[in-house]
Amino acid sequence: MRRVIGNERGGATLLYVLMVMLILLVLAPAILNAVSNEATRDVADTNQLIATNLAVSGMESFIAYLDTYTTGDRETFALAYPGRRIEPITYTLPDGTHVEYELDINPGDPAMVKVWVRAGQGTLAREKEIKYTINTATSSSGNPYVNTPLRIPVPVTNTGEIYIGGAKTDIETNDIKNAVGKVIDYFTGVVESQIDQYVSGAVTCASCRSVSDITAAVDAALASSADRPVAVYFPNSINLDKFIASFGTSQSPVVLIFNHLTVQNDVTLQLYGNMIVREHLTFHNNADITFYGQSGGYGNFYVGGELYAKNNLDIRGANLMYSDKLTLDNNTDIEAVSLLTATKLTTKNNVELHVGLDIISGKVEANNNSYIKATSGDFYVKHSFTSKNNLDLISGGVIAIGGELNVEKHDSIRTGGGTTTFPIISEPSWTPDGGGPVAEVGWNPTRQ
Amino acid sequence: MKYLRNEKGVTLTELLAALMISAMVLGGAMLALWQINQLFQSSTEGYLHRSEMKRVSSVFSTRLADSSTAVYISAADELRMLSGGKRQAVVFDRNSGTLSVYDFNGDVTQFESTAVSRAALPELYEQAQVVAESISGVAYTYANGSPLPAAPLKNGELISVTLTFEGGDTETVTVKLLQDRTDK
Repeated sequence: MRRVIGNERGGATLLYVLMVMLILLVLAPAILNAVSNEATRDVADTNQLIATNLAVSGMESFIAYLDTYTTGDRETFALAYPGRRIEPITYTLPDGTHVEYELDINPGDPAMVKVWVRAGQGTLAREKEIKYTINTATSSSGNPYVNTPLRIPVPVTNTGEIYIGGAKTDIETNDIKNAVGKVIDYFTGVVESQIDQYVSGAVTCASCRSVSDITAAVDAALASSADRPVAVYFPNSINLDKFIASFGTSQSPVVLIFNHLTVQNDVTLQLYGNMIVREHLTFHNNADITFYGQSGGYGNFYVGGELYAKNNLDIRGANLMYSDKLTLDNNTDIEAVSLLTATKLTTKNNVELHVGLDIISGKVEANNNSYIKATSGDFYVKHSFTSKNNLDLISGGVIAIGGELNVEKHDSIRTGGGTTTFPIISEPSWTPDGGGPVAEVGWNPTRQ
Repeated sequence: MKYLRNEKGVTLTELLAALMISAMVLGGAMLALWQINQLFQSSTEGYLHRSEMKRVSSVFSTRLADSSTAVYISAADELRMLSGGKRQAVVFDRNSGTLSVYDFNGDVTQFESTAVSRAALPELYEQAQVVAESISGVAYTYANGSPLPAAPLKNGELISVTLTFEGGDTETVTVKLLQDRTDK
């Protein structure tokens, strides 16, 4: 050590020291500047992410709480939210990030809900504020409406009773007509929007006229596009006869879009996906159509005009089956999750409709031997319902007819055992003449 | 004074040996300095690269988490997001490797339409903000890897965004859309 300290040959060592200092002098500011700026920005970004995620989570929790509402004053219910924090609470995350959190509800109609979060400290702190308004009006008067997502259990009634909101009742009211009309309009809008969307993104085959053309077009579309489902549009009026065909798989669902389609005789079609006919669809004799993919949201069958089936039509596995007009002549058997006919549903001879949820129609005429079953849902008709001979009508929820109801004495009409979307429920003010209609209100959270 | 008059020097051999040793020492020192410098540069570049990847992914994390609706337009490499009343579009330009965020000024129909794109209707895309300029690919899927549909996503779906940077590094971020619907 003494040798090192006592070494007087400082000049040579000084040279090396000066060289190292010179190099560091040049490089260090650049390195430190770059690294420290990035590090600072990283911390700020992380704080922004934390603030956003906490604010979003806070608002989602509040909205999930609104979903637990059953009855009572809505404003009181909202204000009783256990996660309400009028004054910001402060805590530290496991990684050491300092957080301030506030969830405030300003009463009123609409009420204003604000979630505010600040993450981090000093100049690197970041804030996030999310505001929503919610309806808090609670009313027991007004027009009835159909609340599609809300399903209320309905008790089983005796044969021949029509159950609406807790009572056998005169169901010929304009209010019901309006309510059912609204739900038809709503679904018609949804279907039309979906059709437009599918058509706009579809591969068009203008030369397709036969089943082999259609098969080739679908195969080509699947091969050339990574989009799933693949939509293929056939603008020509197509007439098909005697074929067996299968389109789509669970991995590659297909949407077949026709403008106008006529199916003659002896046809078997299996489809994993959706089928759309923008205008009219006619089945003549012996058609067997099977849809797959309900669990993935497929199996929808839309006909923009009239779906007319002459003899022996079987449809299975359909999800939402929509048509403007549905006429079923002889020996038809349809299985679907929901059946919606915008203007008129006509069943002539030996028709069976097995529908899992709701059957909704503008008008219904049932002629001979009609078995119409909405197993777990409702049966809604906007205008009149007429049965002429041997009807068996079953609704798991309620039957609501906006117009005249004409049934024969041997017809069977049963309700209950399923759920309803028609929330005319028993309340303290309920009277046996039809129940107390509920106003068309809901939380309706709206981002500000 | 005695030292100033001292005429005794070193031999040529000693001088050459001293020069050689000095050259070796200096060479070694320079080599060490160069390697240290390279190490610094490599470390700094790596940090900056990771920082860039994190920053780009955080753009998706913050914006998607704050959005209640998203629409994926696969043909245009575009993801549209609705946050409150504000619509935005993240557009990837494959030619330039640029990822940009635009304010989308279309209506609801245009927002959900697969026929609308920046190439088709550039007037709907304003206030471009370049997020990254070194991207070679962007892939959008559900969290389970299945492809996103053309239909709008609006029920709190989990969306995965995989960013591939020039050089092959990838960064995947999975984000849940804001669920703001209630059945009651």
